Amino acid sequence: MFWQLLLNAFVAASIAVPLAIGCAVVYWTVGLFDFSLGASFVAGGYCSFVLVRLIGVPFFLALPGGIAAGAILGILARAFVYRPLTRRGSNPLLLLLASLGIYIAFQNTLSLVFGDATKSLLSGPVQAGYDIHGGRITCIQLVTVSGSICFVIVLALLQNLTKSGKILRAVANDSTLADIVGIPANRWILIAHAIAGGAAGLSGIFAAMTVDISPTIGMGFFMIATVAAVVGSSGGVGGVALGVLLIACAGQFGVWKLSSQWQGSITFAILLVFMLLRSQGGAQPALRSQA
Amino acid sequence: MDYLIHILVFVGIYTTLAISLDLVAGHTGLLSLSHAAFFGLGAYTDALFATHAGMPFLEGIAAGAALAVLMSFVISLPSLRLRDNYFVIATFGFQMIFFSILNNWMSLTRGPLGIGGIPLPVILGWKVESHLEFLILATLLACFAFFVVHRITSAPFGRVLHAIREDEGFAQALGKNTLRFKVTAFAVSAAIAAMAGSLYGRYITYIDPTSFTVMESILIISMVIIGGSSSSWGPLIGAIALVMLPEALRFVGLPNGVAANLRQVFYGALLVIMIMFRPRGLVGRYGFGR
Repeated sequence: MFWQLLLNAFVAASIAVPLAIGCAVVYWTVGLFDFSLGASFVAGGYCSFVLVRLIGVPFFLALPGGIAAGAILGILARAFVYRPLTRRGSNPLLLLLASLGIYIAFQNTLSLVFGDATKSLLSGPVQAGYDIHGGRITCIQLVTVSGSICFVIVLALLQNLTKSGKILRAVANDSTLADIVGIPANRWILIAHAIAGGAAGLSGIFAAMTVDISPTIGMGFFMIATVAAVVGSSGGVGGVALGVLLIACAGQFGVWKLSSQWQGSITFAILLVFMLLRSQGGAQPALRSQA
Repeated sequence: MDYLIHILVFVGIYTTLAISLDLVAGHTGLLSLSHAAFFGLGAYTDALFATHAGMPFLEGIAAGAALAVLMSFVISLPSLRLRDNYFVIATFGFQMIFFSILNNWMSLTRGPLGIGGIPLPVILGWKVESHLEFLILATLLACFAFFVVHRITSAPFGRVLHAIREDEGFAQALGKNTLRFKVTAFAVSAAIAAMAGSLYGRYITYIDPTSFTVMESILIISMVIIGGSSSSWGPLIGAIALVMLPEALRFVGLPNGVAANLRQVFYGALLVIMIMFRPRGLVGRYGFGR
């Protein structure tokens, strides 16, 4: 039982990890909890679904397609909504509300087009999979987990070792100062939104592969991702990934003791406890006020 | 005609909700996404007391409001220490937890089955039966909410709330205990929302958790934004716009499922467009929160 729950937690975490890192990237750069990433998430899932199941494109080509769909949505949201609002000097809360509006409009458009029934990316019989200490994991789940781990490693390297990572951190730290020393801050913020959208799209593909998708699942995953981004924020990419894992484990092992309907509540209980403890001080000054 | 009055009753209930949320969101600058939770708390409290104990409407509405004040302390005392985005996410979290309690505490709330057969209200011998009588009641409640919020915001108390919205540090520097002001505003807002909930339950006579989701919270926030936050008539206009306009979709003759989604697309798009092009809302005096 223990091993099965641990494996389940790993699989659930793997799906949400890219999305959570996307949330964190946007949050680090512009200080926004971007609900439109929930839209990028379902966009990625549905784009890959259309490519694979309706058009018949092989899976490895659908993967970049889904990521691109998420990234494009992220770019559009930044270019046409957040950028004009930021330039006008809007309250950050207005940006958050606008991102909620984008999410609601997009999710329901998908419901109109595809219906609310769940869709699965892969057809065919479920393979038996592997046995680890009495816990089972299928091939698809294994692909998701390893894909997710690769993603974390690549992004962690990007963030810490490359010049782009440094520039992004500079823009996040002070975009005006970055502008002054010749870094085109706006373009880099757009890039951050594109990365976040693409990551969300990847998460959507993982979800479509592993647990099937419907237009409404974006919100649940987005909330897990946001909580993880808050919890792991100070630890960089790796910290966020660990945050997701922590939440997934709490959810799975909580289900062991409670009933499964309380999984969402457990996530939020973690968030609330964490925010309340950390807001009293600690190494995260951004938690209390951005303004 | 009955249909029109039915819509107007909803306008009355949502106006009450929007006015009460405006006290927190528009006047104090705290964007709360847990308003539907207080709405639901009022509806469930009154409905449970009415169906199990036969409690009359006035007592039920008072019980709901009192419980909402208590719950508002549970939410506001910890989370009001957080600012801006974090406060939004925290209230979002409470809203999700509240919904999951409604949905899963089978022995009390009957979960997704909901509570049916809520008796019609009797107020001091006046049995409220027809749609028209409900419209009168809903209008009275909206006027009550308007009066309370207007009194609060035009008093020195309200000026402190506005100061908190503009610059909380400044209000603190003047020696104001801003946490106490925010907690009080939040409690008043919660109590009024719960009263609207009690009326909603009595009117529909059946409630289930899906009426009190986070989407409902977002809808109420949209009304405040679209009508114009921190203004006298904004919440009324926002409620009229968001209750009435989607009703027009009914006459186009779309299937029910499509209409529901289309309405949500409409809300989302309208919210983005208003924030982009008219952030102070249709008749608002301030851009939201600033």
